[in-house]
Amino acid sequence: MKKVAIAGNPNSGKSTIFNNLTGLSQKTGNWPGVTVEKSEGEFTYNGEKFYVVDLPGTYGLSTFTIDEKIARDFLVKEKPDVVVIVVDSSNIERHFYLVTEILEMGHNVVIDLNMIDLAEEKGDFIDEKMLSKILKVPVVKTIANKNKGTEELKKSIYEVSKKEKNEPLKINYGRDIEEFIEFLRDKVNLPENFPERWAYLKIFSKDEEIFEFVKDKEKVDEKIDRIVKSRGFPDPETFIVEKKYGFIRGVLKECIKEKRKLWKRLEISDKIDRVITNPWVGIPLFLIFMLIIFEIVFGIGNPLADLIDRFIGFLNESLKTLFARIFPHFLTSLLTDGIISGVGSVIVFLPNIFLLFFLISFMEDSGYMARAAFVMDRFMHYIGLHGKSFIPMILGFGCNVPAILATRTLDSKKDRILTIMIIPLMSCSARLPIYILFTGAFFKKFQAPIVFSLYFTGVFLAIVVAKILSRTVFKKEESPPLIMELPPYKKPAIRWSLKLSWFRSKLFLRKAGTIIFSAVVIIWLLSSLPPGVEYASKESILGKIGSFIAPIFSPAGFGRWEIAVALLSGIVAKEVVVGTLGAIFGEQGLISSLQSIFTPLSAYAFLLMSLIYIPCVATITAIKNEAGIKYLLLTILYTFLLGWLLAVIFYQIGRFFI
Amino acid sequence: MSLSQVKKGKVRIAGFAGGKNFQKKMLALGIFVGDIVEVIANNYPGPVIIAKNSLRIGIGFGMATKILVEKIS
Repeated sequence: MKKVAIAGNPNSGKSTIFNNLTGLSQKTGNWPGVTVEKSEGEFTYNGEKFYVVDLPGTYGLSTFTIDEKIARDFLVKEKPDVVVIVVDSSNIERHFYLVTEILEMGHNVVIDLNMIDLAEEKGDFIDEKMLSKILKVPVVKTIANKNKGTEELKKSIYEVSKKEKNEPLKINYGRDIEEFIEFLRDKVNLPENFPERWAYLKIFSKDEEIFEFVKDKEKVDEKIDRIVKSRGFPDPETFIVEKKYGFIRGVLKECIKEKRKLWKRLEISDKIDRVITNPWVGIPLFLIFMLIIFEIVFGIGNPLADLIDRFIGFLNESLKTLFARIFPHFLTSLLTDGIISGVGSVIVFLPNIFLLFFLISFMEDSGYMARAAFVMDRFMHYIGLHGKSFIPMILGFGCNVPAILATRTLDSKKDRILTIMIIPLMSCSARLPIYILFTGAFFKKFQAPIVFSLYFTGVFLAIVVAKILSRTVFKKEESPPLIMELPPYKKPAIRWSLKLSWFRSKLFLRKAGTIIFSAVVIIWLLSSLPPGVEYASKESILGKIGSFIAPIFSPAGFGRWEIAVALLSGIVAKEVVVGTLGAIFGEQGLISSLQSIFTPLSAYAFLLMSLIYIPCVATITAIKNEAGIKYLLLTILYTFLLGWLLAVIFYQIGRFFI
Repeated sequence: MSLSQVKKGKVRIAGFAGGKNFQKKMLALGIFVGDIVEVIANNYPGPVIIAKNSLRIGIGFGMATKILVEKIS
């Protein structure tokens, strides 16, 4: 099977091109050893099968970010048969930098002029035949989000894959560079089949990795410095970059005809930006947008989720009566309380997640997301986070799962993992039923302030934990400097956003579904075994585990098996804590039973525990998928310890006063 | 003078005082020493937006203090 790599800058529409090419055949995973997402897929054209890899979005091919290193290693070592370079045609000059880098490697390339509609709207008309003639590679125009040009792209890939290996592009860097390359020839030990000219140029730029192949490092180093100095450049990299851009400008001048509408659009865009970046307007506006997102994701999403929930409940009850006549009790319970509830607890997430994905792609597409990062950046920097981390954190109040998925908008691994790790401290709406039950039983007069104090504690802890983590676990990793291209605002393509969100939601459900489902079934099994016991009673396995671990909670004032069982089952979903307590104590006597077990002091300690301890299974799955198993374990460990510690300290200190 | 101090108008980039990653990022975005850029928005102390032809680049406040510029007469 022929190997195709898709390369391109971030925001070039690369992933959409990848989706269009591979359709539903793709699978996602991580690149070995890192948390950068790797998408692979296949397509067939003219009977020939192609294996496609979506490389991480990069601006160039140096090695100063993980993304660039992954892309470069793939191109050099895996030697794809065809490289498709996706270019944002409305930003062609900048995006062509990567094109020249890859052409210098001598791959068989197809240049994909994507978003060609935007370029034409700007007033840029690109002569692709001329471009193809100058660069000696096929050029295809596409509009990825409307799935236009996909067939032509496939055809070009097919044709190029049949050709001989392409000659590396030769940019004229001047006589002294050519002399330098000649000078290098016998001083370098390159691995076999290594792109030579490209490697020599990287050596000239003092690329650390490639420089290792040089035999006489000192002499070469000296020579480079001499050339750079004589030409009056600060360092070799600048020299190369400027020459490349000079070449790009020259090529594009030949191929682009007139500009008209762009300036009008930029004028409007600049006016909006002047207002939005003013903190007195920008921050309130941002908060309003957040409120709207929150309202849509949860205000529209939750009633829909409730509807699904009620339907599952109805199905469950109806089937229960039906099955009771045919099957023994145990089997009926497994099929309904176990399996149907298990499936239900996965589907119930669909409305929230779909709406979230939709709004995020809507905001990114419109151009607002990039601005929002700037607006919140100064504030978020105080707590060691990125401006964009604010959005996931706010979403965490609704449900931690979409919040964790929203961290995908963050570019650096450090910011992403740090944000993921503190999201469980944002008090999600599933914890509210616990607060309501307990404040109703113990703090009738102060219900609102007590609940508020819990939300506040969560946020406060998130800030503290973020500070601590960024100074310990992530000490070595620097946040990338906040410099971003700001494309002019545009009308988002809604139909494309809908399609993309649906696709992402399905992918999430498929990935998370099995784990959530298994967890529900396991808890059900533990609560119903050995056969014949009352559900979640002291005699069940779960009850026995509860009795065993209950002493851990004695120093916090609630060391009873019922409470331990409730906390354990709460790992399935936080609101289950209330249901389990109801099942154990009986719905009627619940409040009075709680009042006989808890004092107001231990009740608040229990609330602190419920707020902080181990995230629910759905959140756990999301953390595993997005950050990896290591950070998941770290999160489970620290949330449990922190919750327990806080509950104990609060209870023990409180005892002195009450 | 640093870019963060320029309220509006055109300036020439005189140098980058930041670390290597920062310099590379500027290069990758296509901003070089000697370029003439226009300050589109600057809400001191906040992010700065600059324009080079049709390209718009947002720069965090911290980074804007590290870009040295000179007024052009």
